[in-house]
Amino acid sequence: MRMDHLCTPVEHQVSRRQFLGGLTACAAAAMGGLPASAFANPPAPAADKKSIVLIWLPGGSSQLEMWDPKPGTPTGGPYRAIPTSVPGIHISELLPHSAKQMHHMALLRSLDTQEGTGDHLNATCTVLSGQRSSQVFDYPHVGAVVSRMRDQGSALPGFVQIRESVHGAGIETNAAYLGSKYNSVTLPGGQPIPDTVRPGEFTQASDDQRQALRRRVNDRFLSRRRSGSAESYIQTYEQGLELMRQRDIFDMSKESAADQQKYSTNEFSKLLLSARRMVEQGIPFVQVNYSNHDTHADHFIYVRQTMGGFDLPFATFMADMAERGLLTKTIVLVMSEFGRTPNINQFCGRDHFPNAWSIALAGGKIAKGAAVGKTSPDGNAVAERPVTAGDLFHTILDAAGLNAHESVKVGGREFTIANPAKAPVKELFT
Amino acid sequence: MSNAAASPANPAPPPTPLVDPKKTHEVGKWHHPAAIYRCKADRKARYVFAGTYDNSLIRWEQGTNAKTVLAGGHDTWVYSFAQSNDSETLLTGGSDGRIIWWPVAAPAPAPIRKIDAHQGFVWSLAVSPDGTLLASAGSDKLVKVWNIADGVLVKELPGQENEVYSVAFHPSGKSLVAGGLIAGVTEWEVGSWKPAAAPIDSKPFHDGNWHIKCGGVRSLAFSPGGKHLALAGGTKYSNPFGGTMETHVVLVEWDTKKVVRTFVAENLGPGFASRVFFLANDTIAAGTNSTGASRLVFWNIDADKDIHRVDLPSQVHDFDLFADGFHVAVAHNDHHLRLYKLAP
Repeated sequence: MRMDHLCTPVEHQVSRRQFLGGLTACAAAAMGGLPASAFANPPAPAADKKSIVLIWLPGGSSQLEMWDPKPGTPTGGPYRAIPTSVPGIHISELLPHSAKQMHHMALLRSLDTQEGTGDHLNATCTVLSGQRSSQVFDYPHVGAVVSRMRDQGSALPGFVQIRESVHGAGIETNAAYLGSKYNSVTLPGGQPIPDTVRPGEFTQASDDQRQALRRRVNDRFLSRRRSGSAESYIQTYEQGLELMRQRDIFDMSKESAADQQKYSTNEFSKLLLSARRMVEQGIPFVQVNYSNHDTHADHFIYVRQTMGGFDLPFATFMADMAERGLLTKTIVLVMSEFGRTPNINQFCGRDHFPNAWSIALAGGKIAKGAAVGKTSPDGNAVAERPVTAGDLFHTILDAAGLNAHESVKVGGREFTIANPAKAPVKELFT
Repeated sequence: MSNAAASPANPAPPPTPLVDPKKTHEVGKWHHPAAIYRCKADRKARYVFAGTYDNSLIRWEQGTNAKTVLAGGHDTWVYSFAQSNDSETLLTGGSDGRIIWWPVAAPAPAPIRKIDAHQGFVWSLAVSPDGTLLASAGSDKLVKVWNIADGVLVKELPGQENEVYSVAFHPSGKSLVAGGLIAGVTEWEVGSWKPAAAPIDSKPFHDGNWHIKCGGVRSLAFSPGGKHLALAGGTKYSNPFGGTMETHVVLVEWDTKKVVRTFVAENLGPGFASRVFFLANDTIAAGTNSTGASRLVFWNIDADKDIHRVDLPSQVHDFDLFADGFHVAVAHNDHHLRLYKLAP
């Protein structure tokens, strides 16, 4: 049985097929092996660059029950708005703890990302890459771009996704033409990648010999048939080896008991502690996933649970990041692939809505306590300062101190990393 | 419909022979600019009250169709209604956690009393058969019992694992029951407030396979004599966020506390029952919603299969039975409050 208005497996299959079509093309580009020098300009020093923690709410979180409430309107739902630590800014009553941290944050309330489609996968690609993928070409996600632009030659992954423990470890293909080195590595439950401890029967010396043999064989192969695919394959081994060597970076149990207690509210809370640890260890882009937002039915029941699980951990994280001075060198983003419809559907749900939605940002030069953009009284349209996915992409890179106008050559053709027709939202910056 | 009504102290027996679900037809409707989410039929059939998506609390008067907004109360959605046994006081529970007392028939009703009852939604209200107590069920996992005369808290009944959706007194006045998002249906002895040794089984209403809690007993109702308790909601949550589950209504024999019948309604489509009531003639009515169809579904307590279903023009969020036993008010998503007669 299925409901026609819902996110159906069929809808997702079609999207996935299109998505995979794009991935095939981008994978071909990736496996084609663009070397690091593909960038027209070499990466700048990392001194003034910021790491990014992207708190990703897959499924599409509701701007009305988070950052842009519309109480008392037919679209507002049953929840009220509450004041925050910034006079004049109100958010949903479901986020009382986050409200107290608003002075560290800015809100962008006028995203119109209709250049993407209304399905999850394409919308995800669009808002994370700033451009709409096609069946023949895909664009790298912002995490991969940051990983590439912050690459100082480390074999460690520069783009780590931390997911709930129900998900497995793995590598996601999201670097497109930047090459597989910049794909994200997924760590479930904020734990080190499984099976990355050298088996006891191998001594360090024998393992070193093993790796040396592998490198000799690889070098010989490359000397005859150098290809992007081969380089990518070798890179994966080197990255794995580095992950084994530095697995403590990903091991939350190394954090103090006090911090583990502070971040013990729920699993999301623990993932945020992992994110903090990784940022402190120099990982340029960490994405933390917190799911279950795709509430087409009984939205007002489920959103109490999802926001209840989000609020205190997020507020704890923000306060902690500020206290440790990490917000001066880290950008924090809270976003989804789209928002949710202001109009409440017949099943008391909210559907996908890229037309007018909100995100939260913090850190670096993001203006503290700013609220940029405005939606109409019923939330159905952007009323002031429309911002596209392309603009958002520029904004993120700019905030992180990275040059969105960098270009990269693919098959002899030069692409700028961000859509040159778009621009950052300067009002969000100090 | 007629405004004739029995006196509150001595309600007339329902005109049993007249109830015939197969003759259900619309007898009136009122419009509001926003969806109607909850409704309450006045015990004396003078009015119908409604809570709406735009936070309005409305009173429509039978006969004149006069529409009055009850202002100065909730600043959020109204989720629950109850009425005092003398029919002159309306009680409303909101998503603001408040319970408010209102004069039913005042020309411009203003709150008589407001209490901050729960953290979060007041999902359900019920008045005890002797009219002295008000029970409330909240999203804060609590059931609370109040003195209806002055709003003083009589008892707080914790122990629910999650939100409590529904609460009802047994017609004998000796028991209070509550059903919620996860726990089984809990029974307390009125007065001592001791919980029964074991909850009434409601496992099929719940689904533990999802990362967040879903399912639950949405509505419960006693038969007029108290012999049976009906539980309504959904089951088999294959996609709770998408509303893909099956309507589930069961009959509990009160003496044994056992589920004695699981009602079947084939081909209803995915959805759940939002409200359940006992009619005369041992008939149960439930409001159900599914893709493209919203219905009133009727079962006789002696058979598994439904005896009739009435297609409604729009999603039914709630419905209430008038004291005459054969009129219902239905809160619709299409901004209408409709009245139906379950008889020729």
